[in-house]
Amino acid sequence: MKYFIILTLLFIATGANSQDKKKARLSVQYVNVMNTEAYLSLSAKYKSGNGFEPVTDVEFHVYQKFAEDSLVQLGSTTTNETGRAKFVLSKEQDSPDLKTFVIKLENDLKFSDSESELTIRKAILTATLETVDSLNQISATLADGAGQALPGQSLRVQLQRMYAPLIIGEESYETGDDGSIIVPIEETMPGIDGNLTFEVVLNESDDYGTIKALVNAPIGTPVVDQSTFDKRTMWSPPSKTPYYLLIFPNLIILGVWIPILFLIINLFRILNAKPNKL
Amino acid sequence: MNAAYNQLVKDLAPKKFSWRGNAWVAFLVLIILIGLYSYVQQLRQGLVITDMRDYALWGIYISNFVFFIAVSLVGSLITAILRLSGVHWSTPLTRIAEIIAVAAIIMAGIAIIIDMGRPDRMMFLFVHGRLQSPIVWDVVVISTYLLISLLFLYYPLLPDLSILKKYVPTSKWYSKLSLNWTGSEKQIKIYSKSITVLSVLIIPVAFAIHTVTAWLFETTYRPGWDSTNFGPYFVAGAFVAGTGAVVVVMYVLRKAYALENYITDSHFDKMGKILVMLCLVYLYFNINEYLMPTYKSTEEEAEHLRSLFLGEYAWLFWAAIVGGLVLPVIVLLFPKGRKPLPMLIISFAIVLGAWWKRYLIVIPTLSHPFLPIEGVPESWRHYSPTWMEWSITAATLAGALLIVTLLVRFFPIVPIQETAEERGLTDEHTLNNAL
Repeated sequence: MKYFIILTLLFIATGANSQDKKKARLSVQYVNVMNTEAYLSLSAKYKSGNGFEPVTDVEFHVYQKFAEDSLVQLGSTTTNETGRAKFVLSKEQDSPDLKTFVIKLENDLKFSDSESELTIRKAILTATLETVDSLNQISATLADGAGQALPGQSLRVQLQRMYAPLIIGEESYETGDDGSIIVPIEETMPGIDGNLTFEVVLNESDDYGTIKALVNAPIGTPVVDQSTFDKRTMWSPPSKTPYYLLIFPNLIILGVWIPILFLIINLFRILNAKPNKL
Repeated sequence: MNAAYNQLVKDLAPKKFSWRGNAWVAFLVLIILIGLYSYVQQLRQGLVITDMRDYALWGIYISNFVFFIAVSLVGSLITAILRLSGVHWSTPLTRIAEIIAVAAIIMAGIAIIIDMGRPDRMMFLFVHGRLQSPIVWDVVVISTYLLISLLFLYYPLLPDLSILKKYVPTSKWYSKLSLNWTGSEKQIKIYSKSITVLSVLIIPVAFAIHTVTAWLFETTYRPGWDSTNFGPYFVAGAFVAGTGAVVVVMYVLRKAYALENYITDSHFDKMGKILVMLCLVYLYFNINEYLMPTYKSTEEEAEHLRSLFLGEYAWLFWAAIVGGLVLPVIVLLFPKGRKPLPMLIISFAIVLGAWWKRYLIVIPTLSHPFLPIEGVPESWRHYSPTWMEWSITAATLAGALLIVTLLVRFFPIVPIQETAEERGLTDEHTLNNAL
């Protein structure tokens, strides 16, 4: 009887637990930085009483689908505190012209099982820096896996910056019949040692995912280090107070406190003065 | 001669409180206790008990602090400047001014600690303080001024304490505090030299304390504070507030201790004339402070000034300017306006106006930053002190009044020795007989 009650309670608890499981909403992006790396970018969130919140510290399994719907597990990745995860693809995994990835959330204690599928075609993006009549320009060409030009695709040219990229020229440029764009760089921009890194981006294409090509160009204005870290400034720590602020205020403080000490000493002199009256 | 001297000592020696005095002390203690309760809540819960938030990050604690700093300046005006100028009519008022200065500067120091969210970290200011920071300058100058004010109160008390030692032989304190003062040639020489040094020293320090307080605001780039005029503007305002406070206290003490023979109508008349001059100087600085930004009317300044002239602070602003400066000048220009009772009413209006003027310097500016207020609840856009803030602020004001009350209970309100000398009652034989 005792075991029956325990088993019943366990059953109720397990049932209640499965009912309490939340549904995770998964978003997957394929990103290929040409000649560098290709990866799947995962973002997961769930709906709570306070709106959408990130699904953190949860493991997702990544599979690749082959002919006859056979799945081969490539590995797994775990979301960070923002609900994001990155799964880097090897050259072999990324090599097919047409590839399908399946991402699964399985057997999690807090979230119910779910999966997302992504099919991507191979695209090749090349970008170079050219100088024509003393004017620098970025030339980029987009082609499919077979080398055929892809016209009518929106490409964006941007400059890598610390927090967010700086868009060059217009918001986006459409590739011509030969799959290429040419974007002039009219402004001078600062870079460390004059080095700038431009990005040509095919952003979140339904067919090809996100494709990036990087161009390193030594055409920027070298950034001169203006750090005042070792200088004595008004915003430095106490050990680096400007000399004039050490000298003059302390002179004033001494100029006031020496007479104050003199006045305190005078109180003792009055106390110890001989009592002969006038 | 002996009888006259006896009468003078009897008149000016400290007296025990009447029932009114005891009731007054009890009333002040009650206000302080309520404030202490609120402050304990603030220590336990933090500054969340106040209405200070992201934008109004300074409230009535700071405006109250600036008010106390202003009032403390009066010690240097009445005592030092008039003493160095060889003016003798002010002798009966010097002690009152010195006592007010000491009470105000003590409470200014306490007021700034109250504004700190974590007073237990106050030592960090000294350990990690940077000489580049105006807050460190303020700490240095306030502590310096406190010590000088105490010395300036104590030194002139020495001859009086010696007299009281004989007049109240049961009190050991007068004997100890008088530092064996006998009026010997050597003592008088040291004493005179020290008083002169103090009179000279206190003036620049008093100017510095209020100028540095002005710099706390001026070094911050905000509408209403971005001014090169702020130092002298604050000093001029301080003279007005402090002198008003002296007149209020001298009226009350004259009435309570029947000092009509020592604090005469003539003193009120002269203080009234000084007040007219000080109010006019302060008005001049006010015109400078408001006219030029109004003329230029940059977007942010215009919005800040509109809130002062026509907006939510308008009635306070005009009450402080008209009721606390313009009307007093007009009334005080007439001899009848400089009689004791009108002087009390006018001075009270001036002190009240001075307190609210500091509020108007601090709060409206913080409510109108250069960058638009965004991403905060509606209630954070406006500052309205909570009852706990009011009770703590009232407690500091009561604390200042309690210090004044206790000091006049145990020390002579009017300097005995100086008054006797001025009245030709300094004969040694007479003095000994009298005591």
